[in-house]
Amino acid sequence: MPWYRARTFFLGLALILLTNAVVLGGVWYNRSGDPDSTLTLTERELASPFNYWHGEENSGLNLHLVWRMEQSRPQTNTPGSVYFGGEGDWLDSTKLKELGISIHARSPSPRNGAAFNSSLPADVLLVLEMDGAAYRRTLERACRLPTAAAPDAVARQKNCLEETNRSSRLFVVDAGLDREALRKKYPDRAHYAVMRGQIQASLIIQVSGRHLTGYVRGVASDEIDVPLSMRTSIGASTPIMGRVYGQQGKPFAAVVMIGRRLEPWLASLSPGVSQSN
Amino acid sequence: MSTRGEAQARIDQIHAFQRELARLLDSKVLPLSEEQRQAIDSYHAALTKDLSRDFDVDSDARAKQLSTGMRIASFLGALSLAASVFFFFYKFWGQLTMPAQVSILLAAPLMTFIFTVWLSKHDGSGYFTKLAAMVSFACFVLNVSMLGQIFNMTSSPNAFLLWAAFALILAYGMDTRLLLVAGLICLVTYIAARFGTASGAYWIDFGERPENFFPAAVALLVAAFAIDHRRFDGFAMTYRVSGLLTLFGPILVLSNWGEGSYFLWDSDLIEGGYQITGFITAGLSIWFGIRRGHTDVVNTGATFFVVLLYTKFYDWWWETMPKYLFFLIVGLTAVLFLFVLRRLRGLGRSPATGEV
Repeated sequence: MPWYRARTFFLGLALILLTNAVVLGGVWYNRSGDPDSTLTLTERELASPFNYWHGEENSGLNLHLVWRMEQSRPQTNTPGSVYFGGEGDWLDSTKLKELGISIHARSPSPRNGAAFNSSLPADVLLVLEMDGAAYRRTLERACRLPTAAAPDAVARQKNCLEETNRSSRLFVVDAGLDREALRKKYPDRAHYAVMRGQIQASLIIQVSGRHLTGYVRGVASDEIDVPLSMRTSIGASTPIMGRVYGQQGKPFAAVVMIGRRLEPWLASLSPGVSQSN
Repeated sequence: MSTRGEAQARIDQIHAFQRELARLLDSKVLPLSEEQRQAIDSYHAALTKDLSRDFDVDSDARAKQLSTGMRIASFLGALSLAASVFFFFYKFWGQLTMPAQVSILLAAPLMTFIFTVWLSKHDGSGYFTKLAAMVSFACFVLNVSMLGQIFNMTSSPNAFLLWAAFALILAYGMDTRLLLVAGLICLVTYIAARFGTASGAYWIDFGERPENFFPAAVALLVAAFAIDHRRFDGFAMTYRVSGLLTLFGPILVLSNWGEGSYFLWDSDLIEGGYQITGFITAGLSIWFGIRRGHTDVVNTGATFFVVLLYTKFYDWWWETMPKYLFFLIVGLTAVLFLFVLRRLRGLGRSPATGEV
């Protein structure tokens, strides 16, 4: 074999084998030892992505983590609707400063938003709380009895039912850069998961002044593959669907473990009863 | 003669010589005896035969046309087969157990790579080898990306470095420019993403700051001149053009979008600065390309200069000027550019083509 062909052969072979060894080694490391956290989720917190190209051309099944942020102020113009945005009460300018995220003025006397630089999403660690204080407060606000004469009484009643029976109970409640410090603050590994995510700052300019706020742009690894064995174990011949947008899915219970590299996997998946409080 | 390109150039030279010799003989400018003509013809026939055998070159115009067709077919075939690999796996992967998925993902790039190397030994034309190399690259991309999906791994720009490495190994091993381009795109993405994360941002958003591409552009341009590519047809040109496009693209964007800059200055100031930088770098690349005889550098620089100029014309005059006048100015500018390039071509240095 000419020397250049031999060199190509051995280099390519080594790269393929080394790459797979490193990747699979990383998977083994992530799943070895005790998981960083173990959450029990349901069809309320795990959904098939509704904008994913499932069906004809893709036979795989992923479940998508449905996380939320607690908002004490009404965020939408439609009374009684559930908030799925990334802004939260706890993600204020103090927290942004702690995370090292800021926005700077481009000119000495900035008059509008364009005069400030746009921030880029920063890579941070997020704390996700399952069925904890954030959900209970949100439920309490949604189910506060309206006055009989309130114009949005019906909508609010609908919202209360939605929060009680269908909405996700998984909330992003904190963020930080130090994993050990976050785990110390939230030691309950059955209800609090630390995962990677992105936070971005935005500048609100009002008549009263400028106000820096942040929002959670996304949670990394929030798409969880469902192995074939789990799809067939409950006897379904077609993929089980969780909560697709606008639909009521079949109930199920899923144990999601997050490993040493903060990457999740599905430990078990079984039919469940409908989750109502 | 070490490359197919050199061999083809030699064949073309022989054909050009034969055509010119025929004219000289017809005009009775150069009388040759029968012996002399036969000696020349025999020499050229033997040389053409050897080169065709060793390099699979086009021995006449018809062969050249067919070669162009084969190249197009090879390119489209490579892209289609690569897409087919992806869609095939996505169609059936959900019906496989995890061990089966991992085994297939590992076996696919290994088997296709081994087949590619074996094929390169038996495929004189190289077209089939390039097809197989592209399929092997597609399998490796699938290998890494699907493992990431199956095991819910956090996405990382390191995947682009692996893909770049594999594409470059195939490109240099099989002498295929398509994979060189694929490898350089992956490498540019990796370098830009790494510079993006250095500022604390999430890696996927590296495109939000076009300046992240400048280090990659410099790396490609340095590689174009530092690495000896004489054995590889068109590789040096590919590095030069890729480097220039990686440099000019962000400059063009930032000359219209100052908010995307890392610099914390007034946006208008940043846009003005990048516009000036753009015109200067385009001018320098034209000058350098003429000086060193690199037509590709001249053409890329000239194209970017014109695009940048026309975007500024649009910014300045589209709203305020009658449209007929606007297009008249654009047209006259193009004519002026032609005159300038023709003059540069006539300066006696390595010629530019004069194309805008």
